[in-house]
Amino acid sequence: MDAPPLAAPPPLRVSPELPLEIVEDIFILVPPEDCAFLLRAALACKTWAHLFASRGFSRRYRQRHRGAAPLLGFLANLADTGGAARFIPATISGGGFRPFRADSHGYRAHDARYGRVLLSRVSVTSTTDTTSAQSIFLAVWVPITGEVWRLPPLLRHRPVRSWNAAVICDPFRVVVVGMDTRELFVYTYVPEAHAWFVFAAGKPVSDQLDGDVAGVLVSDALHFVLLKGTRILKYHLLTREVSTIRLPNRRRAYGPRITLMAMEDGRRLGFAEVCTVTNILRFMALNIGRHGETSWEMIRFIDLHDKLPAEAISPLGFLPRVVAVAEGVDVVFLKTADGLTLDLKSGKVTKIPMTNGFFDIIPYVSFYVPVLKAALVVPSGVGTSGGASTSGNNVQHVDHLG
Amino acid sequence: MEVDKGKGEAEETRKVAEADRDTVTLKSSDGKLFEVSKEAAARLSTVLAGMIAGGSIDDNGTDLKQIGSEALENVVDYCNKHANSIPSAALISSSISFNTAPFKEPEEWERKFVDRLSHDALFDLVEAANFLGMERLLDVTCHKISEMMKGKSPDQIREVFNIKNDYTKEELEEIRQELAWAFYDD
Repeated sequence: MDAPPLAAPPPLRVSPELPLEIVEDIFILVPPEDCAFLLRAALACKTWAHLFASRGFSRRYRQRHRGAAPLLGFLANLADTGGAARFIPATISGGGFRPFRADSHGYRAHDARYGRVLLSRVSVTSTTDTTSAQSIFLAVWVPITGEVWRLPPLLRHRPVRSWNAAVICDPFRVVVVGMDTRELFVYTYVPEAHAWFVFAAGKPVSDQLDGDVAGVLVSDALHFVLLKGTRILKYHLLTREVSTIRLPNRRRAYGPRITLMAMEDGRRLGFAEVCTVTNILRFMALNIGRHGETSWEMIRFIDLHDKLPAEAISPLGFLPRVVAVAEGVDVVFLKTADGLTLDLKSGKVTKIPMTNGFFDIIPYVSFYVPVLKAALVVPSGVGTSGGASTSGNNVQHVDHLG
Repeated sequence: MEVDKGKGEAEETRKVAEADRDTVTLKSSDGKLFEVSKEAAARLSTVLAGMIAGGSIDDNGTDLKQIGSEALENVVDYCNKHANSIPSAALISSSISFNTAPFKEPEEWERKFVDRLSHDALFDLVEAANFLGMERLLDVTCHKISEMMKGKSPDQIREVFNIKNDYTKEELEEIRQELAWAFYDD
């Protein structure tokens, strides 16, 4: 490990090593879809591992590869775990990212954005006591680093009838929108204070939030589907106003499930749905007029008969439906007899590598920049051989929760 | 008085002539001279642009002590080729200051330009591009090196960059266990 033996061929280059700023310039260009690439470079030496783990590096990496974050995998809320989430990698063989711990025991995935996954504790009691207080237990998991933040319980003195939540970044916040019999409330978790703040409250709308459909962030507003499937609830993060947007009129109440989408780089609200009669997957986008009036426009449709294997759309079998759309990478998750993904760019259909049933899917689209805890721990004494005790003690893992 | 005036005029004409010259002369660390179009130098290199604007360009060869003749020849070659190609808007905009713009793939001629370089020449050129503040050339050379590192093991990367492994066995084992997906031989 010290000097090479004399017989070894001379190194290719004998001049002094490159300045770190050039090393950064070189590895900032590593393509995001090749996850193991940066990791292998981080394993070359600790100085590089530090460089890649720095905030400056990951910020620049995101800037230089803007819009190119790959689909690393997805979180599936599984049937056989009682709805608890498991991370399923996008690539089954070779070099694809996998978290050290894939299971979030007892926690269900609600949302994921910029590498963070929002989890909620699967409730153990199924009683619908209408008088008692209720707490919502949320946690934020970063599969890339293995870090978990457990948020303080969100305590309500009345039972919550329905709620949904989203994780946002810049700044990092968690927003919960919910309703009880008397009011609609919006709480925001502020990590700097490690506390929840009531950001808005008002009259409940005459519907419930569909907690199974992930919200989307479009033009500084969070959008959630309401249960009947005729309206969308909108919460503006800056004005803190709550409003509703009508879905197309001809949609029946409790019709086929829709999946919200952030279109056009997060500037336009949209949704995807599969028509139960024609099996046509269509994408609708919202137009907002000069006076705030809204209308929907179909911007794309795909006949699933052309794309999916025949057995996936048997008339007696499962009707295909959209369960998730991965933002930015144009991959649609469909649930048929099997789980399928449809890549909108290539038209390629892939079977989801899962053997068990799932309730929901939360796509995980993120850059992978390695944070090697073992390399980042400041050695207690340089040169001494005490390097074995470097497990990241300050990091809670998901399986310690609940 | 007469003489002074004449001298002043001569000085003036010399300055005008200098400003009119459309090339600058650069001198490598080993004393070789290279001429490059002033327009291209100013457009592609923030450092040379600053020197031209600040009047610190020496007619007899501006000393670039940090750059060897082979690297400087490649720099000049790149500037000339760039001047001959039709620069796209992307290339021009990416040559401004610290680069945080989305990366643009090298064009065909840029690819050929770096492909013919030896390993050492490429590494010298990347340092020259960095020193001269040539963001696009830096991008193109860095991109080439990053492509060369594709699929390489940490050992192979260390060899190319001539750096030492400072991980302990225990640390590597810990990382290997945690990130098993990334290791080919697992």
